[in-house]
Amino acid sequence: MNSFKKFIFNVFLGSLIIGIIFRVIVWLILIKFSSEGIHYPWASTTAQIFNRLLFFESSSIFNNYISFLTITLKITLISWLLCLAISAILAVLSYNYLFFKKISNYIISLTNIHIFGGFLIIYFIHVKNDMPIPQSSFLAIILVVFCNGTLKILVDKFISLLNSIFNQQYVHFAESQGISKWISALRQIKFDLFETALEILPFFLINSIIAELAFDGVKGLGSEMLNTFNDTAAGYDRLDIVFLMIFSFVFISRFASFVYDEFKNNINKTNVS
Amino acid sequence: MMSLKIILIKPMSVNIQKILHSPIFLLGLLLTIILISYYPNIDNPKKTNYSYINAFSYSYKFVVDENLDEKKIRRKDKKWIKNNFTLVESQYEYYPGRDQQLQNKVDKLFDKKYINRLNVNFHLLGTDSQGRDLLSLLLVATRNNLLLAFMTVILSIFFGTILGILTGYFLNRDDPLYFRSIQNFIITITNGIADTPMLAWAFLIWLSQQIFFESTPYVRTIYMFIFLAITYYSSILSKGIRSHLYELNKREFLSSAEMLGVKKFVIIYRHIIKSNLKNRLFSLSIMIITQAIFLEITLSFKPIGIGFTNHLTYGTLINSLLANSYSINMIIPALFSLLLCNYLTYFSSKINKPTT
Repeated sequence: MNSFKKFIFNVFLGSLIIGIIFRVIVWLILIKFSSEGIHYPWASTTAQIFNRLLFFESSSIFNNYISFLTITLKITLISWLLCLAISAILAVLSYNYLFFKKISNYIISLTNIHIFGGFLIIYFIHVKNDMPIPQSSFLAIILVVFCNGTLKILVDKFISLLNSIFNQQYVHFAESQGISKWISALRQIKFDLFETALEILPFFLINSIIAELAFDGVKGLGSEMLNTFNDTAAGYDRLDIVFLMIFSFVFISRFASFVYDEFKNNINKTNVS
Repeated sequence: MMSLKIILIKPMSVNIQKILHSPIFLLGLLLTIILISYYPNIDNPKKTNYSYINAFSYSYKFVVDENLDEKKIRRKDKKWIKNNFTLVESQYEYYPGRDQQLQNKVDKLFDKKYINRLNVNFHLLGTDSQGRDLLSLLLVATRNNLLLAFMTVILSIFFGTILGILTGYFLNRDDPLYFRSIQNFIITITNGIADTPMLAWAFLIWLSQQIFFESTPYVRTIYMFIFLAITYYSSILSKGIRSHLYELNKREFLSSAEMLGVKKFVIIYRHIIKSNLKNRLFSLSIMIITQAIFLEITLSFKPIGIGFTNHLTYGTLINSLLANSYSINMIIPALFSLLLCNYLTYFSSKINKPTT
């Protein structure tokens, strides 16, 4: 299967089908509500009921949705980049200085405390000092970077990556010719870093959603998901937003995996040729 | 001397590490926690000491040490004591924390040395806002969380292994051709389930239960975990097992065993599960235990509120302490659960390390 077909079938249609499955389940729930006496304007005839399943109620839903999506993507991408930058710096320092490796190892072991663990610490500090908990995207980003445990995984991965690259013969040869090992291995380091970074991107999306659940004030897809399902349980029609949300979650994570696979395949092809 | 030190110390540390990294130690530790948790009585039997007590402290009560009628104190105070203190075996006693105004008055009487203070129970980690011993609560919460996690692990390992072996070995053959179609179909479904965020599944199950079945939060959460174990976790597990089996297929010993006429079920048990998947399944089980504990905390977390409400677990404990957050004690259950999960993650990573 070529890349385009793979993108269409695996990424786009795959995400669409999962979105449709969620839409159908929520639609069935709304019909159940309708049978219990909650009136929806679209539920008066059978044709209208099926129309509701197939079509969007209004196009204005997209405007709200895009603002939620932007916030979530902003948190995901910034925390992803920040985490990559910090872990790359820590890995390089740990690789060069053994004492730094030991210290940083202990410190970043503490980052595996889960987002809610971080939130509780923030909560406790603020409540103890009688201050309201700040509802900012900045705090959500900090929690995603420093509390989801990826920092340690990435630093360990980068150090082992540097070890394996610098042990290769072409780097030793370049060093013997007076060329710095960093310069000779720069291209491979960049590729491997990018490959690792792509692999963990979906994980950051999930963590951004969890961080948004903790902070009410950050109106991203996470908090919107919570509101949407609560609203549906209370009998409101949120069919379109459920579909869009699930579609975009799956699409983003599948798209990241697709780019990762393509990148890996291209590298393999280059190595073979 | 130096060499002697090395000889003496090195094997010791190696042995400790070996013990810490052995699965039997981990299982023993978890089972011990579960068994110990049946011992303490988590209730505050006197239902009186409604206040936080810090770690390494005693809970206490105020008592009138002599016969109250013979005591030389003001008549007004005597009357107040009789009205507000509880008479237990001819002794008037009062447990602090019921009411701030009452407490102020009691403190004044204590300052005047009209009444005495007696230690009742020692609390290693302090108490919660209702005066219940936090260590006992933590043990019971750990038991409940671990039992929930074990249930999730058993179900997901059972279904995940079946799906993984089915798609990675049994159907991963060119003959007959329809095997490939079935394999692709199962892979598409499991990938679809695994790619959707777990929280979305959790919300959907919660919503369906809300609408179609009337049940208590306890039953609802148990069903949610069962459903997630059978669908989401087993899909993730089958993905991991499948990729492992693809690697095994490259080594061709499975094909060799088939050519020698060994039965497929024998190959699956001996060559796949017993000799290759055992360690991987164990580390995946630990990963699922950690995830199940975190999921429980997430679902019961107050802003989300689709998990347990009254059952004693880490999630509800953190929630109840969030509601009364003016004590450092509120952070202890969170730290304890994170410590346990971190140890499990560390253990899982040690098992996953390739042996040379």
